[in-house]
Parts: sequence; C-alpha cells; structure tokens
Amino acid sequence: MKRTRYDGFHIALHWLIAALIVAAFGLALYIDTLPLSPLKFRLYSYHKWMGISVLILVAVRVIWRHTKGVPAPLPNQPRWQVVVANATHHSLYLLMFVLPLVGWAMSSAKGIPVVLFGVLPLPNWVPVDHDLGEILETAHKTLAWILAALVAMHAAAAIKHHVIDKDDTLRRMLPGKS
Amino acid sequence: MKKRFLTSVILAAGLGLASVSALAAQTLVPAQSKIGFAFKQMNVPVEGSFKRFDANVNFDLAKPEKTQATINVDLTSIDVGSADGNKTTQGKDWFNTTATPKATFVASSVKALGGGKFEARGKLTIKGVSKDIVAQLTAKQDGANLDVEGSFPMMRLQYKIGDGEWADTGTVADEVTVKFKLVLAGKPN
Repeated sequence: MKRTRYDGFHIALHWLIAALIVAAFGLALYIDTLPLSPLKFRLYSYHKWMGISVLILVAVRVIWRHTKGVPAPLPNQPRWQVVVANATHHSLYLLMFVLPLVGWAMSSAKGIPVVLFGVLPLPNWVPVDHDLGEILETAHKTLAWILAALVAMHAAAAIKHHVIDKDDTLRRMLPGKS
Repeated sequence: MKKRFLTSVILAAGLGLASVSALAAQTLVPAQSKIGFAFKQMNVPVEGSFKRFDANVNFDLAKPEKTQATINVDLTSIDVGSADGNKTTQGKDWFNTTATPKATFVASSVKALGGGKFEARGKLTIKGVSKDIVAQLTAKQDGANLDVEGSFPMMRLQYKIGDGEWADTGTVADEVTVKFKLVLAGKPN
C-alpha cells in the first residue's frame, strides 16, 4: 500500500523541532535587547539547550526517515514546485545541523562552553579565541536569518496548499488518522 | 616561636606597602606572571583574568617564614572575555572601580609544606572588605627566576562582588577560585 502520510513519530519530531526553532529564534531576539544581567545569562543557557536539543532531534529524525521512509510528494504538482520544495527541505535539514553546531563552536570560542541542561558539559571543539568568536557569532546570526526565511517559506507553502489548493500536503504532517 | 610568629604578623601587617617595597629584593616579571579567576555561571565553568598587577615580594625558599608579600591588582584591567562583561564587572554592583580601583593582598605568614609546596595566609582587601584567605602554592627556582604558582578559593559575596540582582548565586556562583602565577626575578634578602 502506498503511504500518503508521515508516521506519528516523524510528525511528533517535526512539530517538536519546529517549536524549538521558533522559541530559540524568538528568545535570541529578546536576549539581544537585554543588558548584561543574571536573566540574560539564564536565557542564553536556555537558548543553547534548545539549539543542542534541535541538533539531537534532527539527527534522530534523519535516521528515522532513512529507516521508515517518507511519503512521496502529492501527484500532479507542477515540476518547479516539487524542485523548490525539495531544495527547501534539504536546506532546512542542513541548517538544523549547521546552525546549532556553529552556535556550539561560538560558545566554545567565547569561553562560555555549553553545559546541556546545566548538567552535561559538552566538549569544546574550537579554542577560546576572541576573533574567532566574533566570526562565528556573525555566521550564527546570518544562518539564523536564512533559516528563519526558509521556515517562513516552508510554512507559507504549507498554508497555501491547505487553504488555496485545498490538498493534503499539510494534513499529512498533522496528527490524526491515516 | 609563637611570639616570633605574632611579631612577624604584626610587622607584615603594620609595615604597609611602602616599607615592604623597600625591603623587597625580588621584582615581578609581569610578562610571565598571571592573575586569573574561575567560577561557574549557570553551572558553566568560565574564566577571566586581570592584565595589570604589581607585587612586592621577598620570598626566600630557605626561609619561607620570613616572607613578605604585597600584591596589588588593578581591577580596571579585568578581562572576562567580552567588552560588555568588562564594563559591567567594573560597575557599581561588581568591583566599583571608580571608588575602589585596586584589590590588595598582604601576606601574613608562609609555611613550607614540603616538596616545594607552601601555604600562604594573609588579608585580601576588595571594595573595602578585608578577609583572611589561605592560598596553596608551589615555588620553584627556574634559572634566575622564582616561579610561584597557586590558587585560593574565595566567596565573592563576602566582598559584595556582584551585588544587587547579581547576588543570586543560582546564576553566578558564590565561590571563585583565584589562580596566580608570579615570576620573580632577583634574589631575596
């Protein structure tokens, strides 16, 4: 039988990762407005924990999709849309790995390593270096805005399929009966 | 013995900076010396340092009990890794460097523990608060220089370092480990 829907675990991962990305992005924007304070330190830590959680969850998701597979795009879509959707999905996956990794490296370079959930110290894989820290910060912020743009495109396309095309593209990533 | 110890404490404390510096025969080699600190913030180990400090030390490995040492740290030379952090830590809640730009340590006694290890006691003064501290250190002759390396724990809130909203130790821990390496040139008296 041909699969038309994502499986339940994949759906859970998708929405959990989505929530973490939106929360981490919003939190980062808020942190940037704060003066140096205990609250700022606390929120930085939360932001880092969210990012590393995305990294772990997206790794699980890639393994899961290679094991269980995913449904093919709905039939009768314009060729260019399939190509663009495919490229967006690949870019999203790539950034879900790269963005947390760059953030992690940035933490190491700035001499404030990541201690996941306040208990698990993650290794530093770049040296403490002020200039490197600045470069990684710029890279992290630039990539974050690219990810935000891609997420917006991805969400707009899903809504377009749901509201204008009235097809099952979004529904098959929503919880419910198959 | 006890009387002599007391006398030396009184002498060390009473003589003050000027006389200590007159007595000191060793000079600090700043380029090879370091004063840093380590603490935890959100349970994350972080480090910082002070770029400028001076030391008037007379430390003879053969006569550690006669040691005299005064160390002054220029608190405006703090480096916690970011311009924002350096500015904040010089502010009123932290070192308040406009009112108290220096931290001072005056040794009161140094005791040999054997194997090149020593224990130094003395008063550390920061922000007008003086507390007794005990530092563990090693000292070894390195050519013409004497390398003195060690550390001591301190509680930052005893000195009101990180007051106000920063007094919350859930974010920045109370305990700070001060680490130092003093390279001294010249012969002790």
